[in-house]
Amino acid sequence: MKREEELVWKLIDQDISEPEFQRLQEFFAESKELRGYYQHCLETHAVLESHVAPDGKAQPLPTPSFEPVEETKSKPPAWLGWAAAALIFVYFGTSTDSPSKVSLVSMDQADWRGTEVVIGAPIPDRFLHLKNGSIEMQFPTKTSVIINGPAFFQVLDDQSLEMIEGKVAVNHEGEPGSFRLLTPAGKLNDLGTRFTAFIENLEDSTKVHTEVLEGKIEFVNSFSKQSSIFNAGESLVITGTHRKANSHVSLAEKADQGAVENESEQGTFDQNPNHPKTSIENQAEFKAIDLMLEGNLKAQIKYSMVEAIAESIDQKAMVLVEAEKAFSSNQGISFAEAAMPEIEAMAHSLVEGYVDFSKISLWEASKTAEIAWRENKDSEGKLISRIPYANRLNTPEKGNRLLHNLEQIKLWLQTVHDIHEEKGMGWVSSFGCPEDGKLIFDNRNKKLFAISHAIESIKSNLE
Amino acid sequence: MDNKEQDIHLVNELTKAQPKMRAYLAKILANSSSTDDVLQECNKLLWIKRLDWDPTTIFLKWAYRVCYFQAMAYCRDKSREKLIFNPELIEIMGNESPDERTHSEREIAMEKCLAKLKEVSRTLLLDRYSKESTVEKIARKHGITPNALSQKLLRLRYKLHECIQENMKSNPA
Repeated sequence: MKREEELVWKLIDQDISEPEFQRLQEFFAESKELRGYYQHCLETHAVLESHVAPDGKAQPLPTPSFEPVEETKSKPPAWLGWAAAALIFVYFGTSTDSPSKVSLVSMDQADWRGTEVVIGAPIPDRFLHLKNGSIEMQFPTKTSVIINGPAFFQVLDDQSLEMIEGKVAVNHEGEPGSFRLLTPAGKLNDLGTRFTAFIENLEDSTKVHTEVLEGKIEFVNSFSKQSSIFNAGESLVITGTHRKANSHVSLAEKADQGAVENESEQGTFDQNPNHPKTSIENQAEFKAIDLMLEGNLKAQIKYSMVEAIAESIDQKAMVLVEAEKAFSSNQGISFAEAAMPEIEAMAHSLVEGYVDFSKISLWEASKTAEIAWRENKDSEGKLISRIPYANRLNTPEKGNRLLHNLEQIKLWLQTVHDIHEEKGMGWVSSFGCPEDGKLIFDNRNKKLFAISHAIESIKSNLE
Repeated sequence: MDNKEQDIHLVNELTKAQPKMRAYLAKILANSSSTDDVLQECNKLLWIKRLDWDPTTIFLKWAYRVCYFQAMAYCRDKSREKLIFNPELIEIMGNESPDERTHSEREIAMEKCLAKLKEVSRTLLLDRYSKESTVEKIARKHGITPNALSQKLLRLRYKLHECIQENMKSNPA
């Protein structure tokens, strides 16, 4: 057996050291033949595994309802058995022939993927993908349901909605218990109420944030079948490990009663439970930029880096701002003169640092939009939901203060530069030497130019 | 084909494709224990996006693409872990489809090859693949050290694999 073949088997057994793994990667990169060998070995390994699978036990399967799957007696391969069973369950367990009495009553900028639903039409009995926008459905149980995209959901019958992912607001005026929302972590039975839910499908688990606005709901754990009642003004976070059958549920984050009652008095509820309305501070955290970047992972990561840079520059700039406020010259010198070393250092770090500020966009360096709310009212004019959207500002505001601080630093630096010019080239030289001073002057001029260029670039990066 | 017929068609295709999808993922994911989890995510996604599939095209090709992107996402999330291939290698492997022969063809070949092994070797090998046995337990049962057992198993499995490949070559699909 060749060395690389031995490494292949060690990898399959997950019994390979890090240096061996690195070496094997190199072998793979060089040899198509070895990659083919690896593929064949994996298939042999899989056949051996399925050949001796004890009792042909099926692996737990996260079906859309995330119920534990019953053990089957199917023979190998194990995954084929559970996958097929799941698929058959998915299909036959969710399809009905009777036409749905649930209809779509309104839409706002709805962007459907796959099946598209039109206003007035019954909702198809299949999983629907609402990429963006919002829709309102009416159930015959006197239940109005508003869903915000991105969302995956299915109307199971005239009384049940299943959601794998997305945001939903429910207003149920029918018989208590006649409407239920199924989520990957459990079932929410509506006992005559208004509530919101935000279902997040994370890498390892599912998180359901729900908030009761009026009346009460019953939460039933899919696995233990235990139930709990939640009343108006309470919010809970349910987490479930949907990939494993031993899913657990935990209840947490009960909202502050007073704060939520306050919200209720306003007769509104937030469609974005990701930002629970337990306090004004929490509401302030919900920024337009969160909406603008929703679903764009690349931009989110990029922005989080810009935000961190903005924050660190702001910290340093604020020290100077505070110092300027407290500054009182008794020697007839300006703040720029007194703080010259700090100003020069800050400008230097911007120009000679690791960040190319000219690549940053205007929306990343300032606040170009703010949260606005689209309100949905019922036939009596009663507010039933508010949906947030990003409203573009005519004049950008400071936001994370990145652009503002660049302009401020440029201003300080320009002031130092002007004083230098006024006082003569020898001014900043320890020896009063004009040549030294001229060199410093020229270098500062370059920095001023670079900062100005960055500011202008940001202002023109309007993507 | 109406939607219901198309769903049934997709269920058939998806069920048939499971071993190949798993083999494809196992290769990219370095046979990680998370392979089944990622496969399940792929199944879910394929079902959710089932209307995107054109039944006149080869299902497996579409399934591989979905698996590829799910595997990439997994590797990106776990990039700090030890046994994750580098992105370039993942891309190369992602473009290579698994062997076209089916799981049952390989199984038939394996049965023949297992029959050629001495009984003690066969028991050793199958014990190793029994989920309830650890290397330590098997070593104790056979009166050898775990290290010696690992070496022996390595050789046995290599031999078995060579035999399976030979057998499949002489009985092409």
